[in-house]
Amino acid sequence: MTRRVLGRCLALIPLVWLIVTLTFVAVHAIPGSFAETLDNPRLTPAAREIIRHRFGLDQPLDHQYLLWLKAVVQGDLGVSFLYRRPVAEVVGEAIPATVLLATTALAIDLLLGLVIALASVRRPHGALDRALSGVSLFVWGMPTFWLAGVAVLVFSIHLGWLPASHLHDVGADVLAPAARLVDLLRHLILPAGCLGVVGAASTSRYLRSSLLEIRSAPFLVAARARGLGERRLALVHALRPALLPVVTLVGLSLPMLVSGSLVIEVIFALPGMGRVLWTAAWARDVPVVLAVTLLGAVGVVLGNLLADIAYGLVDPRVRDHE
Amino acid sequence: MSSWHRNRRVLFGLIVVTTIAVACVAGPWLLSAPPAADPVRGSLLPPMTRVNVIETVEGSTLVARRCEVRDDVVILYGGREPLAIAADRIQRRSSHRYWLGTDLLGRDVLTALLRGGRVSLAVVASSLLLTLVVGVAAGLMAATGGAVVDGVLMRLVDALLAFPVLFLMILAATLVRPSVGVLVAMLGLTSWMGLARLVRGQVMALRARPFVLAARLAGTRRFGMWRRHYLPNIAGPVGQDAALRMGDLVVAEATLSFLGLGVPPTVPTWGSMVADGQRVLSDAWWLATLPGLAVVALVVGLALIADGLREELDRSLPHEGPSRVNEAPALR
Repeated sequence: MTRRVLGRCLALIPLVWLIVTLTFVAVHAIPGSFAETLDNPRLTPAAREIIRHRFGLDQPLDHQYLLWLKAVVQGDLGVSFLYRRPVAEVVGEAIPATVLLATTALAIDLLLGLVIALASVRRPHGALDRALSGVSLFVWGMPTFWLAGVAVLVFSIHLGWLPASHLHDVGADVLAPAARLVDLLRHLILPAGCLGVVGAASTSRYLRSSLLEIRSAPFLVAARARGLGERRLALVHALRPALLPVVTLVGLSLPMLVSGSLVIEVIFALPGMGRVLWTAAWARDVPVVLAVTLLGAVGVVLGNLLADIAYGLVDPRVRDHE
Repeated sequence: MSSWHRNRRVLFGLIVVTTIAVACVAGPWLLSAPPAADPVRGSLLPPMTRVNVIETVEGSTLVARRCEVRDDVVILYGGREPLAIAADRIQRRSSHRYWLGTDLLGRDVLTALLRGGRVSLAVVASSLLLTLVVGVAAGLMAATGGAVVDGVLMRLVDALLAFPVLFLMILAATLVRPSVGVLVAMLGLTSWMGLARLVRGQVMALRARPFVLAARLAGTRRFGMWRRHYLPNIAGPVGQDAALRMGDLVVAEATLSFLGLGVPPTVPTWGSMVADGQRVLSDAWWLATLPGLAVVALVVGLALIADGLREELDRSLPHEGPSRVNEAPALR
């Protein structure tokens, strides 16, 4: 097991290097990049030279590439054009909100997906299964930004139950800890709910089909022949192998979760990485955009690694192989 | 594959997608032209509103929900205060029903929806074409080009798949000025990776089959192999995948336009219509809701086609183990 994990970690190094290189290539391959971003008609040629020099843009490309690698390894992501502060600081402040949103959404996604899938395979192709399949297909087709808008319309504007933006109420700092937690949760319900519900639609679709496939597996026929109850069959014997593809799915849906967080953060004005990226994109704040893209990609790679390790833990065939 | 057209899901999905496509392409010609925008009395009219349309001799168009004729004066209600017009200044009076209401500037939402759909569909179709070309070519090359090509291409696929697609597109959008061409390139070049994996796997499996081996031993050249043996035999799975991927592209395009990073703001698409609508969400629910519903309908239609095709493929092909999870659905 340890060897497997170590091997996986080592295999990540070239991948991370490739990601770092690709971001560099992306910036330099596209015409009108970096240097022209500073293009301002009121900038004198001399001033432009100074700026080019300060950002190392007058160096030959291979040298710039090495500088970029060195800086990234050292965790130095440059200085934001917009905020005039180190990028690492700007982005670092935004990570907690995104992680909070993404994990809450993932929890909703998995729990809801599991419940829907288990409910639908109790009687495959029955009335409940058909209804749930139809609803989850419909939800699956919804763009997050639209669902978020509709949710705000219904729950914030018409019913007035939940806040439509931000993570805290104004003046939440002076509340007692318990009240602050309630305030935070109230603010999380809509954004995390929108993200989680759309995810649950796809989780339940995958889980349903893998549960259905497993139903006719020999070991389940044997278990049924031994006289085990349907509930035990479904919850213990069928669910564990059926969860395997879901573990992979979670690892693979991380990019989607991160992207989805961006849309949700923009709509609900949450102070997360996605919102930082979006603001930076509008301001053409290239260092921040690069840093967030890089962090997003590395986060996704790490998430995949975790999913891989989890897969090993859940699947005895992989676990006991070594 | 013999009975795919008899599959109920495929049929229903095809009907939905074709209806939307035909409505978007032909709709603006077939519908009666809506009256010119009247930002005062025609602003934010709810769906199904019937209005009186008055064209004056000066050539301007006025719209009013209620209209009263008194002697030689016509009084228009709506807006802040009623407006009286002398009857001899009126050139033509007619009525028009705004099936889906009007926007803030008094423009017909139905027309905008169909026009926006045209742009969305054109962008999605072209980026799907790009995805197909790049994905199939990369997959074929990886499967038939030897270990080195395979290794390089697949590692590239791994790395690209690790990027959150939306981040990649935003990165591109910060570096180049957005236009329809750039949008197509961005969408196409960030969504071919899963397809390349699929094609590679399928072709690898084909290469172990006797008829392919026989063709190779008979000296068929590489291009001939691609054209005669590989492509026809992977058409089914690729078609199924393309239908699913097209749904993802529809959502991706809408999301980018929603964020203002897609096509330029002068060209309305479903995504940007939702974004505009959300600014007046509490006054006019239909503006943000209806374009989103159009996206949902299109995506669900495409998913039905993909599901049905998959069902038929599973029935006709030898079973390949548990359901395919090699890539999560893209941006949502």
